[in-house]
Amino acid sequence: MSSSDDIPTSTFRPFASRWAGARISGSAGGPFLTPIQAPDVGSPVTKRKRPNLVGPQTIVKVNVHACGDGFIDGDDTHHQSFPIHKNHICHYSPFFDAAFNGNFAEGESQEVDLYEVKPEIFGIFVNWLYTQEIVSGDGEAPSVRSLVYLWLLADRILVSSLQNQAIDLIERTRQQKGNDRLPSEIFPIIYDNTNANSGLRLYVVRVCSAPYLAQIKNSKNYPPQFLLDIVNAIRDRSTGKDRLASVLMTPYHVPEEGGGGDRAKRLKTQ
Amino acid sequence: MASQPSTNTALERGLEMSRRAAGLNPLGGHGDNDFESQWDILSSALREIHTKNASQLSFEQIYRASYKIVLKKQGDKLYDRVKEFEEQWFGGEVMPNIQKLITPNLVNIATGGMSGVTANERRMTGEEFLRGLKAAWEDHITTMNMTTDVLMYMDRVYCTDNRKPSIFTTSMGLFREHVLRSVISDSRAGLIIFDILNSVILDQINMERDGDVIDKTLIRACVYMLEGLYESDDENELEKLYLTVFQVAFLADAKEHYQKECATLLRESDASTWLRQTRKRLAEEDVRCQTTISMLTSEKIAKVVEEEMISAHLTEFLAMEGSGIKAMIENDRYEDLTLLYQLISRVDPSKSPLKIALQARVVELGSEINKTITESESAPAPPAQPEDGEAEAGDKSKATKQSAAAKQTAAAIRWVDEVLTLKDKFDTMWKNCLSEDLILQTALTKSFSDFINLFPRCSEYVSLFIDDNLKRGIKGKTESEIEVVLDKATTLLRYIQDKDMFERYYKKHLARRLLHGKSESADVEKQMISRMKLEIGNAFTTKLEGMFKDMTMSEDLTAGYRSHIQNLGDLDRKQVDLGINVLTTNYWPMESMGGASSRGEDGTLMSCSWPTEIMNLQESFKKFYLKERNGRKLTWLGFLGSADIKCVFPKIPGKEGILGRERRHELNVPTYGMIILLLFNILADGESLTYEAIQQSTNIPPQDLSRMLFTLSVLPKARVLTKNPANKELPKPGDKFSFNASFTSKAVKIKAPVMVGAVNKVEGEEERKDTEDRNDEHRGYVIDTVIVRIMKARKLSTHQMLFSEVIAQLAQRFNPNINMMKKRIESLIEREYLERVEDAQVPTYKYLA
Repeated sequence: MSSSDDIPTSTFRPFASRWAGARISGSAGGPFLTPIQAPDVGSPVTKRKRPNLVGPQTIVKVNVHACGDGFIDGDDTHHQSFPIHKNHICHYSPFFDAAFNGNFAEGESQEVDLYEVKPEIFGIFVNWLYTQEIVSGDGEAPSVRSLVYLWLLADRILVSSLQNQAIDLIERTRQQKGNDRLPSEIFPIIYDNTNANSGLRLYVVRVCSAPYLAQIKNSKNYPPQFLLDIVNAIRDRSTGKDRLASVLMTPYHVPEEGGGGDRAKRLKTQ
Repeated sequence: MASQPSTNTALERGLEMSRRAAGLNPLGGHGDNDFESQWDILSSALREIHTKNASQLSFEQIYRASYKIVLKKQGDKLYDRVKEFEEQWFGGEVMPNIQKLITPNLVNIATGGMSGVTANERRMTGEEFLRGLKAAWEDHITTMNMTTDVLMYMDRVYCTDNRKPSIFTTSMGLFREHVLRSVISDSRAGLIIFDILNSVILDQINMERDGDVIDKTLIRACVYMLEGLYESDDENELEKLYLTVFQVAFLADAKEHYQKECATLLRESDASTWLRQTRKRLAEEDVRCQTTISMLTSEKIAKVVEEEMISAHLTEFLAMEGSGIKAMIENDRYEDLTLLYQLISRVDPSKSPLKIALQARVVELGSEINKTITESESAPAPPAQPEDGEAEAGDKSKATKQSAAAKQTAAAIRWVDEVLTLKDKFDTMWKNCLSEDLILQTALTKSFSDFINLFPRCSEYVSLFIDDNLKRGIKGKTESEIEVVLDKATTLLRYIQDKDMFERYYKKHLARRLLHGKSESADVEKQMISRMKLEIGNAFTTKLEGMFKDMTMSEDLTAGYRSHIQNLGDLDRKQVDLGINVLTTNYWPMESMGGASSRGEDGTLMSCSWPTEIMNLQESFKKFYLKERNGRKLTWLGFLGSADIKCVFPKIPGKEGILGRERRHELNVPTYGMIILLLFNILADGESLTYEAIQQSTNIPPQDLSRMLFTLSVLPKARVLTKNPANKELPKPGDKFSFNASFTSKAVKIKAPVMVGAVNKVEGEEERKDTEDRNDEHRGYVIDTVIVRIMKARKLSTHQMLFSEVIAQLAQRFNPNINMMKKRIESLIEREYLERVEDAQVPTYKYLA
């Protein structure tokens, strides 16, 4: 899952901080006349400072629609608007950073219509933005199914740290339930919305290839590719005794980089 | 929780419907149809982005389209399509506009041909081109930033998983290949855009070097582009196109430019102009890096300028007549020198060209000083040495002789002054221009030492200089002024190589100062000695300090003896008042104090015959002295000291005026003088003494005797004796002397003129040779001591080793002569301290215990 291209420290671009600064300060004066500073090797862009709410912040709006665009059903729970502090959402999500700070329509309106996302899942995300904790509406840990949707949302809007928190929570929930199982209903969802190398896929294959698991009954919940992956995983495994008390989660994490940091690294013009 | 299932089903229904609405296969089909419909959305969006019409587009929608394509494993297809789109865009939209800007003129310049148009026109077309390229680049950056935003999910998932460069990086590569490296349509030589770009920028920079004003911001923008582009998609920092292509061309061009410029300067200007032009160019290129190109080049371009403008023709410029280093030093052109130092420091940390030039200059100027002093000394040269010149001297010639000696002393002082002035000059230069460079300081010190030691009389002159200052030079000076004088003296001292020679002279001069009470301040004398102690070491100053100790001791003795006599109450006899200086033999340089003539052939000290009253006094003092210092031996030195004698000249009967009265005078004469005069006390009126008689009864060395008699019987000031024959020649055997009853003088107290001894002045040739011989003799002993000491420790040593060690140990004092060392070894072998080891491969000596 990790490629050197993705780790911000490995390839360092000397212009990154300068251009980001030029963008914030606007285009007045033109940056070309200022002398280039020597590359500041000491402090590459790793972790940006977490945003806070000290001082007034711009509010942006995200209208979340459970269905695709152009399709509106009568259920209000499928269409909900979330006002969010711009600095928070843009800090954690490069997707929203691009939307609200880019030159597209959303940049103008400061409003994003987000389709094919369940508002309740988005709500968990919004709550997480401010608290860095994953809880559902009733204050409890969300169901595994919700966590899977949350992971997929985080994947789509490029919030790696939330993906990792979510998958860790899935694993913890699995262990707490005591039966070491994952609900089979999540498998088709996962296989529909991820790529072959996705951490979530690899994780469920790992769990479902444990030797002691009960027979697969609800076969419609097992996409063919999933079954294939499980078979291959079992073949690859060296020893049969695998109680799977807990899974080492690191291989299933997504490399985290300070939110939308990769956007700031690109070359920009005024 | 109960409501959860129903929500889910409702939602799934909604999702399914939305899929259908978006034309997606709800079962997650992977058909091309899916891809094409999403790509349609994307490609039209890309077009809008490229034509700057994106503000109406929904980012979410476009992003979702690319997201879905990637989820459906179509990332590779998407990636390739976007690339294709960019390539088409460059070919169809960007390049035609740029090609239009390339005039035949630009091509001509790039191929090195003549442009045939004015610089101004050339600048305009060049700027046109740069502006076009800059615009294309900036558009590209803007659109690619937006495109990358849209394709972020592809970058994150597809590119990462498949280890592909990000779409942004790829698009940068496309710009490099399809814009910068695209071949110019109507060029014969296969010229690419990059060639034109380089040549235009370099052309503009050269215009600026020639004094034109150019659009720096514009060039800077294009340079930025090159800094953002790389040779490959690996984006290796060392492979920025700026570094690999532009900088190479820039440096080569600059090299050529400065080569020419320096050649022109060499041909048409002077060193001063060259220095300033070089400084200006260095500053210009630095500013150029800051404002026009990139700081990445600042060190390299500085190096080019340094090589072409400084190193290449440095020696030629330094040697320039009237403006080169010689003139700079001569005329105190501090600004030039400062610049020169700064520039040379850039190219050569050892600064050797400057070092060599400075050293040569110091030695040259120093040798000039040596030469003028030597010449001025010999120019009014008296026919013989002043000391011996009195053989046929009369009053008049004597006076000139004296003044010749004084002149020589003045020359010595002048030599020191001039050396100090030269030193000051170079010190000031060193401080002001050479930023107190340590390497150069060492070099200068060495050169000063070189030429000073080339001057054979340096030790004597420096000592004389100190003598002069300590005698009267410091009179009325403040402490800090004295400090300056002492500093100067110390500085000079540091340069002198033969410290032993200096010590010899210093002792001699100091002895005279002390014994004749000429020293202005004992305090300053002591300061000087403690400085020398610091510079040369304890061994050097112990004797000097001993001399001072003797002086204080003598004062106490004199006072003590005086009260001792008073306490005896033995005042009936006419007591001779005694002021005594007891000198420790080892501390004082007897020979150079005038004792040389008192030595017999065998070197033993010949004592003169003392008159009885003096002998009584001596005995009385000796008793007093030895009371507390048993076992010491006192030797009375007649050639030192002086006596006050009360003389009565009775009135001469039958004479009028002064001669008719009795005259009393108090005569101050050297000790020898006193001895001679006392002889006449027992003489009846009109009787006379022959030279031989005097000689016999006094036993004064003949040379000293002649001189003393000359003072008392020929020179008018204290002519209390008459000489027969009454001429002005130096008294010699056969002459007769009698009391000069008709002596008159206006002064009551008369000081007999002293011919030698009391005044420190330059030595005559013979005297100097004496001194040198003595010094050599002494050196011989010192070398002996050192050799024996070394051999005693080593038992066995090769010739080579022994010599180098001896030289090392003596370096502090003097530079031993190799021949002398060889002789000393021979002598030590003879005396059976050492022997040669017979069958050794290299000459080796063995110590014989």
